[in-house]
Amino acid sequence: MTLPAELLKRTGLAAGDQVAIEAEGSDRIVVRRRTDDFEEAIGVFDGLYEADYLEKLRAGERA
Amino acid sequence: MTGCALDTDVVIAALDRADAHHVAATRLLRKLSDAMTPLVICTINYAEALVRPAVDPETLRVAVDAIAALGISPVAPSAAVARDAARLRGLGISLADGFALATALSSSMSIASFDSRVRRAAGEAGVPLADA
Repeated sequence: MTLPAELLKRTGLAAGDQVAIEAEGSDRIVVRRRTDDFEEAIGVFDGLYEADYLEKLRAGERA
Repeated sequence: MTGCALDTDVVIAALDRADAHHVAATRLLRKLSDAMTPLVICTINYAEALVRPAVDPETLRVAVDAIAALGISPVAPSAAVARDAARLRGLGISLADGFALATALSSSMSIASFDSRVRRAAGEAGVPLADA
């Protein structure tokens, strides 16, 4: 599979970049940049999970 | 040790900088990463960590990518691991925690968890604890 050079230029993607390739629905494939940077990944969220998230999740599973 | 199995709470603490254990999780993962220790998470625990992000597709993508970028590999439990998880639940931990512990046990790995019940059960099961 070959990607158009113009699209790569517009998105800033280059050879060696890490990408994720995913199917979206039955007729679309999405290629997107993926970070492999530990420092970017650590603490990527700020307060997404409630303090008692796991307890509530597991209590919900039992309900 | 051939690697370290991560409990759900460690992954959540690593992802969320507002988590009470974020600093400890960061220190632990950095130490394990620097030592080139393979990091795994049982897919049961992986799913637990993704339930909240999964509310929004883009947030789910961010979480999945971040877990991968941290060098954490999801591993599916075998039937033997499932049997161990069921048995280990009898040590007073949740079934999901049992899967984390059984995953570590199955591959002679250490386990990382902030849950005192899991840490105690790990001791009883003979699974070493990974600490920062």
